[in-house]
Amino acid sequence: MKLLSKKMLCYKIASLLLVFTLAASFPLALASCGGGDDTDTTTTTPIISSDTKENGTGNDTANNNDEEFVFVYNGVTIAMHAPADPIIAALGEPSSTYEKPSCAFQGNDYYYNYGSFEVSAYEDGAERCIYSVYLIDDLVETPEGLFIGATESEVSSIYGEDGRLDNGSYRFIRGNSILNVIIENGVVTAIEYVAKVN
Amino acid sequence: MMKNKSLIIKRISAIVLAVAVLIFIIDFLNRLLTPKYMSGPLDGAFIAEYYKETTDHDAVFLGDCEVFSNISPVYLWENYGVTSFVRGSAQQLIWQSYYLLRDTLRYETPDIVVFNVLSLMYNEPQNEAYNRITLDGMRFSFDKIGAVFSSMTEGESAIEYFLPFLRFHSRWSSLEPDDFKYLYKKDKVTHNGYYMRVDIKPVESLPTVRKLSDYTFGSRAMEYLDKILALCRKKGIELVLMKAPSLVPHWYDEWDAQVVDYAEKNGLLYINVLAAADEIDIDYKLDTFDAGMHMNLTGAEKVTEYIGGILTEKYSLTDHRGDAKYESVWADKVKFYYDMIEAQKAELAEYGRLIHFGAAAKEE
Repeated sequence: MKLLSKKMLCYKIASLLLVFTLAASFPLALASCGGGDDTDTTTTTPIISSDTKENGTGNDTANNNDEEFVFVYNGVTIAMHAPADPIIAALGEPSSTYEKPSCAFQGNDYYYNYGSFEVSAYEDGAERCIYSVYLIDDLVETPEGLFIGATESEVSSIYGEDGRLDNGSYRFIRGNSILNVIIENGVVTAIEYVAKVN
Repeated sequence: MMKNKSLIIKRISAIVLAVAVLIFIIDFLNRLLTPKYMSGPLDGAFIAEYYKETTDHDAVFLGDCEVFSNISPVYLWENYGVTSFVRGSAQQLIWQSYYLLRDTLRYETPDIVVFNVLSLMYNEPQNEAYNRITLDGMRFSFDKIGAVFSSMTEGESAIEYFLPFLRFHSRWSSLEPDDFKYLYKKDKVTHNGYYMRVDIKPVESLPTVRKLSDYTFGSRAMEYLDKILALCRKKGIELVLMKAPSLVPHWYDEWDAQVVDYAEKNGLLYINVLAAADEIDIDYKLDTFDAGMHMNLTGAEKVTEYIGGILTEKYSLTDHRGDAKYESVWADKVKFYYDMIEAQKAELAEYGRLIHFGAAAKEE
């Protein structure tokens, strides 16, 4: 055991020397991967993957201010990427929960169902963060007053036309939050808040 | 004159030596600083295991976790005499499957390629963590270059995939014993690409099925499905589409209809195991280790039994059992398979849960 530790120490010293040697040999290359953020972020990206085309890669035209879309229920504000534990505690006991490992087993994804809406969270290191809120029925509405069953014209009168997609639904982006409004036959059939993944 | 010649030889030797030292250093740093995936999550080690194969395969499975946790090549061998390998990786995107197929064809030409269709839901690169899990394990080739350039997300740099120490140099201060232990040789963690789990976590509830604004598969995803099909046809390989019986992520009827339509138009076999879950007796209380996302051993063997039956019936595959070329190779694989089953069961009995085998975020 003691021998192993010494060996390990030698390896570490040798590797350090090599890293420094190479760092001196490749200043430009190393500078390009630092950029003030050289930490290994490959395991901390939100990876809940339900909505595949909507993680900030779409229409950005509604991204015209620094505010965030938030959902409010019984005085509890749910913002995207916010720490989830205090929010879940404040919301009370969910009617059902679902927990699954992310596809890559890098932490779990969590779903908390409150009957009229469902909150999902991802793990960022030791912390759980809000990833989405999905409204299930018309017993709840957005703080701006949009609810399931509203007409398409109500969507545009509340949020504007800028987020309209070719397929007739809407996607509005504010800061790190996305508000998806699904329209079917001129009526709102789903409302979803999603954290924007940069 | 002689002096000049000697000087030139010395200079050339010095240059050759310097280049050799530089290559050694770069190789050493790449090996040292790149995550090893030998404890905690193992899935970053899956893709590279293919290169250790010594015999060819009748069937190659491509796709995301829905293949690596649901298809057991050892079961296929034992029950059908079919040799196979699962080139699966977590959230493997379809363009990565395409380049992994090209990469595979550099070594062999299987009779059948089975592609799991879940990844058609993704039309854009998703994130670096997933990219790394698939791409870091690929050997350097033009196909890896293609895979990297098709997969990078905004802000990523291609050079960091070919010289990963540039990406992971900050790990130097947090190197762990595994980084030295597995510097030149890694343990085998899969069974021809199959990730085994014997534990059970039943489905108790499922997330709400969320409506999507658009159910149409993206044009880029479909373009790569066309490319996979064209490549298979060019090489005389039968392409088969499959959907695993995983309940999460939800597989929408609208998505399934597009796959059915594509298969019909192109004369492909599409095996929807999700739709056949009742028929093959998948029990979501017993056959999954994470509440419906991945099958455990019993679930994977049911899926493999079903798919193996269809493939051998439709495509007259050779039964290699008894063939000396394969017997000894597969005997080792079978032993490793059953040894791992016993090891996992022993751990379950001792601790009440799996703590190794990639089950825990970070193993003790």
